[in-house]
Amino acid sequence: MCKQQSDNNFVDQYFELQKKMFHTWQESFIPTKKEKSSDPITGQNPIDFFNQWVHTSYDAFSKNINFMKENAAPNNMLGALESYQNLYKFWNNFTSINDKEQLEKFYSNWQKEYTKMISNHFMNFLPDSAQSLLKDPIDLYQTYLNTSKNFYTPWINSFNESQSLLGKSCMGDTDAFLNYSKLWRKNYEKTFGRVFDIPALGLGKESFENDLKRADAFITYMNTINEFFATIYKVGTETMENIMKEYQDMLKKGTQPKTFKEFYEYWWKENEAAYINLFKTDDFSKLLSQVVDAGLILKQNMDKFFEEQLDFLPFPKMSDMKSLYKTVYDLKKQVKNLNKQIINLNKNTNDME
Amino acid sequence: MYSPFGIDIEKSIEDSLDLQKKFVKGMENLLDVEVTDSDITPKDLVYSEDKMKLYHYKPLVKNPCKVPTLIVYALVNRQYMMDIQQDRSVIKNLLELGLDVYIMDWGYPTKEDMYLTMDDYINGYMNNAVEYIRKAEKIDQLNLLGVCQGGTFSAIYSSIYPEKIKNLVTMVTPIDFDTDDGLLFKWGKHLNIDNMVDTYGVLPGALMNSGYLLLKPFQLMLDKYVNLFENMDQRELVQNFMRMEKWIFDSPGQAGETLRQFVKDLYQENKLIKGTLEIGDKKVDLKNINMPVLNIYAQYDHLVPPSATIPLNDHISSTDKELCSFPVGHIGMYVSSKSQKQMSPKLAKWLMDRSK
Repeated sequence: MCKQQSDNNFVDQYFELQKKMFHTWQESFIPTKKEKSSDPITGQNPIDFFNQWVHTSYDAFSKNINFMKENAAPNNMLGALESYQNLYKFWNNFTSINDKEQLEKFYSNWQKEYTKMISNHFMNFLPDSAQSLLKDPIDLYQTYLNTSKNFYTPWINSFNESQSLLGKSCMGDTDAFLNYSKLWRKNYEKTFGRVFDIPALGLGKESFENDLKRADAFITYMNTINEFFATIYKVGTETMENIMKEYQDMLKKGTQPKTFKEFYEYWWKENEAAYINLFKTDDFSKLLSQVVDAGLILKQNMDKFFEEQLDFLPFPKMSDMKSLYKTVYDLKKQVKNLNKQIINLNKNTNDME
Repeated sequence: MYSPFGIDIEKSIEDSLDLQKKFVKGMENLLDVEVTDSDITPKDLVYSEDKMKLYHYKPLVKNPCKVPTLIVYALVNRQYMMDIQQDRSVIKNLLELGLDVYIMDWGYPTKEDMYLTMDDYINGYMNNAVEYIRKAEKIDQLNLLGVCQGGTFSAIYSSIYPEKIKNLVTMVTPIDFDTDDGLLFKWGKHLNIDNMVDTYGVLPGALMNSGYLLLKPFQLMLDKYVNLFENMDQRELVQNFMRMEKWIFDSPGQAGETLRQFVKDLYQENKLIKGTLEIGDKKVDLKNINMPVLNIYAQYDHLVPPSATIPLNDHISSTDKELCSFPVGHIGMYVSSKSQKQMSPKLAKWLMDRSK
């Protein structure tokens, strides 16, 4: 039923698509009175054609394959297409620059968008469940950073240094942002992280201590994941800078990519090489391990929290099941061994007879 | 037609129009695509134990090789990679070239399997499958063909039970884990596997896949799909792509205790090469491997680099041993046209010559 409906939608949308394509074509290639006087080469319409059309097709496409959600390929493909389109916007914007001032403006305008583009790309790797675990803390972290700036920072020893780094990172200094994340994590561990270790007293002691541990795990996770993504963004923006510089050089020599397709090939290969260089470092291996570990500790705390809520309800918990699985595993192993012994005994008896 | 910014506008528009035509045509291909023809070379289920199944392929020649060959695949991903589609099936090729083939399917571990150890897999399931074949075929020895992690298991098995193995073939198999060539080997050294296993019990396949994708972040998550996008009008290509994609993301979870030992003893402590590995109550000494060995590796393997595979031949006592490589990647070893034309015939001949 669901498929039937989607197919009908698909046909409708396909015709709609054709109609839109015709309009886009008209707008792009048939000059209106007003456009007749504009330069046919640098006129904006032809170059926008690709973008408009991809957007229209992409919308129709994404609506029609929703019913295939359980299949990983279309989802991954849509994620990839989104990155591809974003890169096109970047390229389109970038290739219309011809002086240094414009280049600087372009850089500062694009820095945030580019980081978002890189972030979305890396998010696509993760299973759906893990993506929400990542996206939410990243959004929350911004709020958290703002709050912390107002309330907590004055107590931190290296206030001046962190403020200076934060200031620089706001101005687009990627190194500063990464260092700020690192410093924040270090300071947190030295100061507020310790608060969560304070022993509790009284009836709600255990519950209170668990709550503190959970809060600590959550903040530690946020700190680590942000350091991780700051590292990822740093390489992304550095590569973007290199590409821009190299492109200007190539433009002078006439060796620049001539089409978006060529630019895309050049862009992804430069990025792949830059990231693999990062991934090969010991520092990244350790950071990756810290991120995974912090995520696992957060999950352990969340699991424990859910178990505590279920404690008074008549449901078996995962810890109960683990114990049961272990018993079944041990018994199964014992039965298999005994079976083997019986077979061997029978064989020996038959041989003797 | 060049703009002042060095863009060939005419070519760009041509490209974009071409892409869009393919895209519209290709949507139908994607919606109609059927990927049901993996794992269809005829076979019989001959033995099963818990989730493990042992299959015997129906021979495709009149007098197949007298010594059967047991294929042991990795625990990650599914064994039907060897039979991904009829015109690119390593299994079908080997059967047509005269081999008698068995294959183990490890199944999909669930939470109840979280305590399964390498001992259960190797001294348990694998040994029971070998015993079944020996009994059913009335033979003392069989050929063992191990793939990737299945090759590591096969090398371990052959060193514990050398008397049961006539010939050993390892393909794209990690043996020496003390290498920095592959990112997995580098990252594996710092991984807190205890925490991971204690948290999940059975590691979700999707989580493992995220790690594999990160090894080539732009090629595997972007360019691969952009290429598909550009070729969507070719029905066969879309079908091949979707078939492969289905296989890549058909990743079983990993029994925690097995993964714990695999990462700690091998990735982190390299015990197989050091000769200090123990599987259950059995010590593993690669020097016990004395049967003929064919060690096949892929020159462009980003998952198991050649430096992790090649050293096997230096640590075994076999006198008849051969190292062989193909200019392909890890997966290309099974699906590329090179592999169909070169690897399968080489492998079949090597085994047939030594199975008389």
